[in-house]
Amino acid sequence: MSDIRTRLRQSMLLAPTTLTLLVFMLLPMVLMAWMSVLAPDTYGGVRWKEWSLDAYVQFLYERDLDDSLTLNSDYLAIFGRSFLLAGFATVVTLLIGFPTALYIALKDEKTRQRLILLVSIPFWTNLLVRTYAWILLLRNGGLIDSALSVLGLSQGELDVLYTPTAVAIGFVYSFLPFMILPIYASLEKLDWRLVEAAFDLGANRWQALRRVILPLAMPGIAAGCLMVFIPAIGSYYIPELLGGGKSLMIGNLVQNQFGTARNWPFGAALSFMLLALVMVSLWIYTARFKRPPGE
Amino acid sequence: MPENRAAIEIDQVVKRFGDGEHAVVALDHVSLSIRENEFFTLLGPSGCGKTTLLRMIAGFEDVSDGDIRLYGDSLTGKLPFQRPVNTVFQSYALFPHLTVAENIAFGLEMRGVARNDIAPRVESMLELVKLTGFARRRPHQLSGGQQQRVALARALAPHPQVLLLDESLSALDLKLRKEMQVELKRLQRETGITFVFVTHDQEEALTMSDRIAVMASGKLQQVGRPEDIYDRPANRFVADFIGETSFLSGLIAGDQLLFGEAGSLPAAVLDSHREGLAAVAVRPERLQIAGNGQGIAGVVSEVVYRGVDTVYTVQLADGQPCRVRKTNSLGAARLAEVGQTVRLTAEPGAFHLLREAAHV
Amino acid sequence: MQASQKLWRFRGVSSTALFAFVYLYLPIVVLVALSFNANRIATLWTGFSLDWYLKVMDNENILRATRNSLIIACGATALSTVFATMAALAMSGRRFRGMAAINAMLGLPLLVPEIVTAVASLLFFLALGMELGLVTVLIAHTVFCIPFAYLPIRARLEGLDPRLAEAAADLYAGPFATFRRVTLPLILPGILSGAMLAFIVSLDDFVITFFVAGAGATTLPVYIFGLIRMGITPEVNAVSALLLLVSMAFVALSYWLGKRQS
Repeated sequence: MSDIRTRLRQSMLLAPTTLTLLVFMLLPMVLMAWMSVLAPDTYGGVRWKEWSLDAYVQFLYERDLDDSLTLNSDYLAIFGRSFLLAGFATVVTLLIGFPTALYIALKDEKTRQRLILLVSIPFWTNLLVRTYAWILLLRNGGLIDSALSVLGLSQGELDVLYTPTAVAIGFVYSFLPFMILPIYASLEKLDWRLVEAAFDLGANRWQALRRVILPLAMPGIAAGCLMVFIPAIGSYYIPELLGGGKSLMIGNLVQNQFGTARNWPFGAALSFMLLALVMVSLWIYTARFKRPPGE
Repeated sequence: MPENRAAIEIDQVVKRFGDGEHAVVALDHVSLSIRENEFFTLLGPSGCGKTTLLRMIAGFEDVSDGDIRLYGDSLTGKLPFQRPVNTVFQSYALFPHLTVAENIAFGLEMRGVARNDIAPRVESMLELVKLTGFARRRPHQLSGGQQQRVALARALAPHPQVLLLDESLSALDLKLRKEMQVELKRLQRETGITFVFVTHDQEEALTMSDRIAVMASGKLQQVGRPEDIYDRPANRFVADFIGETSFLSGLIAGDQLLFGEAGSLPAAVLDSHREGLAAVAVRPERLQIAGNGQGIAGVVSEVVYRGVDTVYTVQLADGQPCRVRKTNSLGAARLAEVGQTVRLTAEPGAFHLLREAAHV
Repeated sequence: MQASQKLWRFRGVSSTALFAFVYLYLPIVVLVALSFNANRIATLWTGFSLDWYLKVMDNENILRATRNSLIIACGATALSTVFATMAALAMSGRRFRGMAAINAMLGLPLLVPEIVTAVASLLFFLALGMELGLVTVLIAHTVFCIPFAYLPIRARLEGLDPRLAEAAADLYAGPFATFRRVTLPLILPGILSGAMLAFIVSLDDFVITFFVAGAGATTLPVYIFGLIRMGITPEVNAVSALLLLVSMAFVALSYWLGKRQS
């Protein structure tokens, strides 16, 4: 077949997807970056011709009445808290997810498929609804509270809901499948004869795990960490619902700029910083593993 | 065998992959002609260009230079589905979503054969490859040998002018492969279709082919009947690749073939004559071990018993190794043991004089 | 046999796995159970009842939100699956310059935090002066559904023996016949599986929809979010359980389709 005809057909097949993604995914992001350096309009919106770095200044400083700047760590604290909560969720999901993935990988073919389906179902089901279920469990007078009082393990109120602890529990719960699945994917491909060789050479289980299984599962572990960390740090409704609607994390802060605060440039700047943060972690990942996560 | 007219003519065909200075030449001015009703084999080690050539005949690779003609008509520019040739793929490439019958019917449907004619044709094809009753099965329900037969039936069903077989037996185990060799021969006889077979297995090529083309690194080495190729290899590569061969250097002087300290043989053991230093090739089964007296002298360095025969490696007195093979008869003792000094003789014409110069 | 099985027992692995599965399913089970609770004070079990489901069926707002959700999910699924199939076919063809860039772009909606995509889309639509509604939601959903539909189709194509298309061409099938008779039937499970995943992610999406929906295009998750913020009621339990079961059914189906014939 002639070269030109093949190329033409290829580009025609690609056109709808590339155009959709270019126009409705990349262009909006460029626009967002642009808007972040414009001045806000009074009732939402931006002044298109007025350049301003205020949004980024506002992130670190407060403008007093006399126009002098004082350091304001409130927003930085929110970023820090988001980082901490997302990082905590990543570590805990890894601690639970790796053994679970290993457990599944060591089963026979049929059992493995069933268990993976069991992990996949929560992966795909509505996160909002699954988060809501934790309100039922965690609230005062809820299931866990009642169970603990019946067992005599606690007196009075549990008081976990609407705290960072509740948000952390929600994160671990929501994103656990995001950790298990990639780790399992790399364990599934692992040649178990290598582990047998380690045993044969005198390694005990712990040594075989640490020296052979863990290094070989590293791409999956890193991908899993990324797949937990990214949605966790940008999460909006989990802190909103379980954290009690305070501006606990970046997501809530961003939403606020388009709700009550009506400061679009600041909202754009915040999401842009979040995006930059994510891109840096992705870049580190690709530099280390030479391929995009999930492949 | 009567000389039939040419079915395929390959004329100065060149295949380059990549372009400019980085181009890799996969086929270098190959010319040969394949006759009608012939079982023709392209033989060579992997990477020699034989599969590329086959894929060019089928239309999956473009010809960089030269031309391929089918009954006189150039195939250049014709797409695979416009060529009246069919292929039996190495991995069979059976359509997994279709039944055996649907696989066989595929080519007929594409050619627009009337629906009513397809079913009997499929049935007769199944009969031809001895798979009657398997029509409703799916490819994955069949054994490797059965899949092979379906692939054959599918490719034969549209009555191609030429059938191309790409390493078609290599996936089968030894016993099944031997069976299929006989089977392929039978199919070729019964259908009268020209078969072009690609293999790296020299024994398979010798067993099945009317003629063989030996290829190496993109170049044609020799074309001929199995006997020609085996007895009169064109060069050292062909001699080495096909069968077992000992290569020796000697000096031809008058009626003697001299091997230094090992002594000499009469020049009549050579199949042709040329004075001076010469490279010669000899098949292990064409040499005899004599007790004493005549022949060239050497010491047995290894004896390998192989059931049907025994192979003796003899270190000639001038330092060259040479192998001798003797068919074992029931209860016969070994002709020599390791360390024993022996003499080797040969019948007239047993040594093939290579055209190349001898290296000392 | 005994000893060799014991060899692979790493300490703490099976208990952690058990914990993980209980952790994953306990909230779902509790939610579904409570949706059948007769009691209005949602967490105390007093008896089995289907009342709340009947109430849900009667609630005009829920029905409207459901209709919106289905319209958008069907539209986004159709568009993204067709686009993704075409793209996957092109990407499995001959290599070309820019392939890596297109691959990266296809991964973008999966990697960028939803809130960022949501904000960017919102600003884009507003800047264009588009009215927020079903159309904006449909566009946004199509964008993030494309990669979900693309991946299974691509995987299917990658697993396809290129010799099969060659065999078809060898047997006199032209490009179109080869696609219709060989390639399409073989990748169909991948296409269906991709379409189902696209349908689920569209049906389940909350964050992006929340930003770009506007008043007229409230979808079921957005509506549920509003209800939850107002307080826990058995109706929320029932409608949540319904949404959960629908997605579960689709995942299981998609999974089964993916496994078949592979």
